[in-house]
Amino acid sequence: MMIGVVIGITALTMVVAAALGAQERIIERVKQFGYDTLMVHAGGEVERGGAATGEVTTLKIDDAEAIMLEVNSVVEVAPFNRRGRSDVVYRDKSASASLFGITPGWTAVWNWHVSAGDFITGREMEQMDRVCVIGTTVQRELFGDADPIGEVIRVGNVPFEIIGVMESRGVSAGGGDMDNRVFIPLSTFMRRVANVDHIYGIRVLLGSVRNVDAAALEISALLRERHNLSPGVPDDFTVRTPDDVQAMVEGMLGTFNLLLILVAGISLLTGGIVVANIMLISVNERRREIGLRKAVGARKKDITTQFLMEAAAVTITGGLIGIVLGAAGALLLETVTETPATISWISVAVGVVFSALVGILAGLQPAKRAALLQPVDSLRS
Amino acid sequence: MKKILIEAKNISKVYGMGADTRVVALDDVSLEISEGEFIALMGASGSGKSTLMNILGCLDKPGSGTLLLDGTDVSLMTDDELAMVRNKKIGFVFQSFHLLGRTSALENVELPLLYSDRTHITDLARKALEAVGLSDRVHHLPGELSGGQQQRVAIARALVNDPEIIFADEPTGNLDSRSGLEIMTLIQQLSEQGRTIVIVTHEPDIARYAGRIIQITDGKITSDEINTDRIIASGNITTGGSINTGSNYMAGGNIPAGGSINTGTNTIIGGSITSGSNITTGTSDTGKTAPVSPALSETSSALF
Repeated sequence: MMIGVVIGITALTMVVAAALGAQERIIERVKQFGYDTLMVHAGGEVERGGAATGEVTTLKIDDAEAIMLEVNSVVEVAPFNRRGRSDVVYRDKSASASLFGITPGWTAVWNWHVSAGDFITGREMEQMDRVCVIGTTVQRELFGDADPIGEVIRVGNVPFEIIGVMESRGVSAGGGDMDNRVFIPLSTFMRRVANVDHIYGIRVLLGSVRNVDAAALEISALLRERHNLSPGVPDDFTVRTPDDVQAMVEGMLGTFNLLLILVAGISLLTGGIVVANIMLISVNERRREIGLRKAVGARKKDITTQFLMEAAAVTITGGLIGIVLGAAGALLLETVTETPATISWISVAVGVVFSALVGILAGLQPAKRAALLQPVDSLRS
Repeated sequence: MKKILIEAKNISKVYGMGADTRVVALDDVSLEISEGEFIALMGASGSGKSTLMNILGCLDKPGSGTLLLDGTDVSLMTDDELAMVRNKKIGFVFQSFHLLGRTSALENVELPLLYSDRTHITDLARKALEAVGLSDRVHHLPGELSGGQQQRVAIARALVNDPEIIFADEPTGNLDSRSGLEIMTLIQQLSEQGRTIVIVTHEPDIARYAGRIIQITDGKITSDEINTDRIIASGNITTGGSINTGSNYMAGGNIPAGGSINTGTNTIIGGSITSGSNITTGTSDTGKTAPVSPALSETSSALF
């Protein structure tokens, strides 16, 4: 009879753990993104839906230079382009990684540095050198424990010498593995690899968190002017503030949580109905007990309370089992799918409260029926 | 003159609404019960005796008429008010004991106290169990006790809140004759201690323990008399002295101290009638007459 409640609370505990984990991750990611940074993406809100299929070519490297020069609060810009899922080959080993064309400003803007070797310099940028810095995932897959610096890997048949390894950064706000990347000079990327003259985006570092919204407006105005957009024409770029990023991540995790909440809700509803039915049967089986209790002085509310407490005790027991299972499930899910999970007293409290609530709601009708039994009738049976 | 505890005036109770299904369970019954009385309500099954007991015991409401308990009109009270009256003033003993099977004797006895504002309920329950001679059975479950012992637990439960009146509905109906005698002895002792008792029975032999016998037939009181042929079960057991049997031991449970032997025409021992001059002494002949331990009587008289 408790199984429905157990499943429901298990799901609920996982939702709460996932939600808390997500929240922590969001805070962590946004912190990583930086509250003093902006992201400028190519393509306006209208084009963003198609951004995955077709390349948006509206943003140029000159735009980054203009932002750097003309917007006062800007400290540094990091224009970049990228290509997802590129084959990276080292001798007989191969891996699939994202290829990033970046500029030397990248480390300052992302506050992300090399853990070994050197980062790409302005000189290498100018010379369009075939050098790269790799992420730790790429390093692990291609080199294992061996030192990759000085080795040559091939990305889309172009050889690159590894000059450094980036610090591990984990999972990005969007859910991708930020360590599964190969960074090359943006100039090299544009000319030698992709053969394009546009960039994917520009990350902008500001001098202070207070300038974020003003800077966003200033950059928008500047880009509209540079792109010759007349009033009424929508932006062909998107400026994202940290708040936007937070909302985006929350939205993504929200979909997953909604699913779990649905599972939890259905299970708890089923569990509640089962408990309610069992309680009704119990009321019938225990007519004599109820009659006796009334005969010796139990009032309606005493009987109601007793049955509600019993129903709640059953569901809370189920709930406690569910909390344990849910916590275990969330941690398992975290290790298997890298869905973040955080178990805290909030998970336990939510589980207990909801299981008690189900018990009380399920017990209401049976308890009412028990309370209305007449002692004479129920003792006779 | 003893105080009048219960005053029932023109009580009627009709079951069923239609002309064909209409059953008159009680028809204009009036009755007074004084403090300290030991009354047997007698009648065949369906006579209305249980309905009357239920109404007098505030388990059921009269269809019409008034019922005063301790001078208070209870006939118009709500269910919850009646529950409180039952809790404070009335104890019940049922034919089928109605003990909660999964709780110990002690917890069963505590039950009425849970619904009262009394404190130290475990102590009170323990004392009540001592009073019925079950101090060594407090933690037993009902299933681990004999029928007689179970009924004693039920009597302890009826006593625990110190009620003004105890109603016993066929208290020996589910017991063998030996256990029945044991229970009637206990009930008679309670009567001797001044407790007001009403038992419902269809057995004349059981009714004869009472001081006053009321006959119910077809929902009406057809006779209401002082029992002139009363059985006294307890005297011998309490004192280890003689049994006083036979005629003319009357209401109020006055038993001659150190009672002399009175042989009567109808002596009942252990529920069987032996006519003639049977004298049986308690302790010397326990096999026949003394199912209740002396300890029981001593503690009960000390406490209740």
